[in-house]
Amino acid sequence: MLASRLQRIHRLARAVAVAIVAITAASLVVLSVRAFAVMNDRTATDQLQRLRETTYAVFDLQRVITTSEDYARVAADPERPGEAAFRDLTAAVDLVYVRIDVFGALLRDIDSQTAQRLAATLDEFIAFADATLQEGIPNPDAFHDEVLSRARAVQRAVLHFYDEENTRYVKHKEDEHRLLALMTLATALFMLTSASVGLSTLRFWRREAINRVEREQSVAEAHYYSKHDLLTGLLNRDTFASSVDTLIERTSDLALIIVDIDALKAINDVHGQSAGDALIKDVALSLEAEFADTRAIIGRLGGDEFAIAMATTSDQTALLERCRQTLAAIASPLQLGPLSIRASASIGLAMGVQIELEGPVTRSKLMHSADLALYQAKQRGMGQVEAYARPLAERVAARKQLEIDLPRGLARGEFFVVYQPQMSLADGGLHGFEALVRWRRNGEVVPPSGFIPVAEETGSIVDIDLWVLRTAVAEAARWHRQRADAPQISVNLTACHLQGSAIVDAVRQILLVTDLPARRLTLEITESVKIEDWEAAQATLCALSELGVELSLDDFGTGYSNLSYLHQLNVHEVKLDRSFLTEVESSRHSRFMLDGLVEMVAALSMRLVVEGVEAPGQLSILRQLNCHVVQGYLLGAPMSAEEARALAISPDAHLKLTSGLA
Amino acid sequence: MRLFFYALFLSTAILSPASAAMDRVELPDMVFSPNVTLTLVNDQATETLAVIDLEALGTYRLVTRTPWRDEPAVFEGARLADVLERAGLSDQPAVRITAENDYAVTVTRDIWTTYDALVATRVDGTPHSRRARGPLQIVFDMQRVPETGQSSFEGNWVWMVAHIEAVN
Repeated sequence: MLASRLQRIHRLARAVAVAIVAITAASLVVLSVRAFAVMNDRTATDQLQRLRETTYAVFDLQRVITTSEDYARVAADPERPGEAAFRDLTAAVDLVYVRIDVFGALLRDIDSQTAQRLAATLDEFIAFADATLQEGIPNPDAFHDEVLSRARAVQRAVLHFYDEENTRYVKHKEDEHRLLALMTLATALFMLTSASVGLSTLRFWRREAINRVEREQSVAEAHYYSKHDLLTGLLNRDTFASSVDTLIERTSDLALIIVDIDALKAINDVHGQSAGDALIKDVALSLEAEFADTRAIIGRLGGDEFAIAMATTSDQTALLERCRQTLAAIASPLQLGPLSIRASASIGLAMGVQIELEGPVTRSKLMHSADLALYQAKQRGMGQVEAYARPLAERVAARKQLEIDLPRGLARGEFFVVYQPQMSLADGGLHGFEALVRWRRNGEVVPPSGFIPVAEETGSIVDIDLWVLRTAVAEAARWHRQRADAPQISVNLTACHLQGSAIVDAVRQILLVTDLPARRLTLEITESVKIEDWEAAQATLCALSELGVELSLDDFGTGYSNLSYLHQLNVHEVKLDRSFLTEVESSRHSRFMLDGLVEMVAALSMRLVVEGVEAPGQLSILRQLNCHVVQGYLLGAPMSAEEARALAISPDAHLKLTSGLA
Repeated sequence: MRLFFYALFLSTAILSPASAAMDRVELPDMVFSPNVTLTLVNDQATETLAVIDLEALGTYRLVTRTPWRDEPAVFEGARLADVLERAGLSDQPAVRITAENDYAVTVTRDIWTTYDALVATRVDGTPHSRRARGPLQIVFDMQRVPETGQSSFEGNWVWMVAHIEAVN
């Protein structure tokens, strides 16, 4: 409403301005035409000439009067010759004659009664003078009187004409001055209005130009942001994809690199989103700097993932080296005010030449391969570079399948437990069994090393452990029901469980349900996963201990465990890693170390279990060292539940063993 | 092409006055000379010349129009320069020429040296009459006098010349 009114006012103002300019311009044209006419007009000149002639005519007439008076005076005196006076008089009349010659002609040109009358009067006067002069002036006095009266009359007429002419002249001059003033005014007005109209037009154009530039800029910006990532200015996912497609059309010899920032989520959580954004920008800058000398296409695929595509003439080794340099650049600390962030990234690299071995190079294949390599790099830890190779792909695919199959297998009942006997060296009797999980996958039995690490990483281990715990405890309870002093059962428990208290309830519940005395259960804590929260772990261990179960530290001497750790944990048993046994027969040093360990564990009132005993020589050494419990193929391979049960409930089981070993 | 004709026309217009210069002529004696004299006054003396005295200075002919004649007439008489020479006024920066009706004009030397000026005593072969602006009239070649400002130059065409003196 207001806008339309403003627009109307604006239009009206513009129309008025244009009208003013038009009117002043028109009047200026009219005035100019008139001024031109005035410049060429000889009216003023003619008027001046007439005024001059009028004045002369008055004098000339006066001369006739004077000379006629002289002649009259001379003619009255008979002693004086009148020839000269007559000559003067004639000359005076001649003057008037000549005057009329010009003046009369001028008068006759004027469209005025006064002028015409004056011309006639002058002619009459000359006619009278000529006539009288020709007669020789018989009566000089009378002549003089008549000349006087006629000349006076003519003079009056001349003066009357002079007045009239003078009035006309003055009026003419006034008109000229008025015209000049009007012209000056019109010119000034014209200049003012044209200047203002011109200025507003200029301003209007300028605004138009600015608007246009702004429009073009915003269009260009919109175009830019439709193709680029807002945060980093790198190509966005779609644009990167189409650029890679274009590159592939040109050459199959190209490399695709995927860069992934490690633990970006943690940085976002701890330092805030802005720190994460700053890190992303920093990584983008590092990538641009590192690949500046190549004609690489760099894009941000999203979140923490970047991708680089380039036609490559260099070999993979050089490219890997460049990737490592890039990672080093990314790893340099980023200073954000007081905050110093040390980031790392992982890189997966795929070369077109590698893909080509499997078929035509496509973007999706390249991306997929680089992704696989990145995945592999991530598996190896932070800040790693991995190049795609075909076996790797298969490994990764297998692993991914494993991840999917693990929980599925557990649900389908593909897992089963085997039991490996443990012998007490003190009496040679059966100490107990260690429950070991097996997986029959697609008809094949997978060893623990084939799926436990994956299960640990994916978290499936928790469910697997609990299932094994339930199964093994139920089995041990069955033994126990048949024989009061049946061997104890050891079940592996990943350190993951120690982070919470759920395991305590689970163990309590299982013991309650199966009715197995708690002390017949040993939980072997596997330290393949680092314990993050020590306090929580200790609390859980204490709670488990309070249930009455025995705790064992599995694989001691490898992984994260150490002596101070051993001291802090309230465990009953230490299970030495099999690697301690490999050189125990040949190396005195190794035996010495083993001896020390046995002593130390005994001093801490703990039980020492040595597993992986495979040779009789090893067993005899362990016996000499007063080791407590041994486990290994030499003493018995893992066996089925039925076999284990038979052995467990047999009263002479230990005899069998010792006799078998003898 | 049209430009060429304009140029041609202009050049003839400029060149033609040269051919209409004042010519020296021998005149027959006047049978009846007008009873008129020219008074010449310089610092030292006053001299009065009759028409016959003027013509004795050497006569010239000039065919020209005048501001008052639409048709050219043949003017004859003494050169103004010669008359002034005779009066010892040639070195004066200007002279005052006065007519019988007391009309007076100051003529500067560049006028009488630049333009041929004639003190005409005869017109079309007869003595110059008073009613034809004689008997003595200062006549210029109408084609040679300045086109612009002719009305102001017109004042130099003195008729009924009676008196020439130095301007002090």
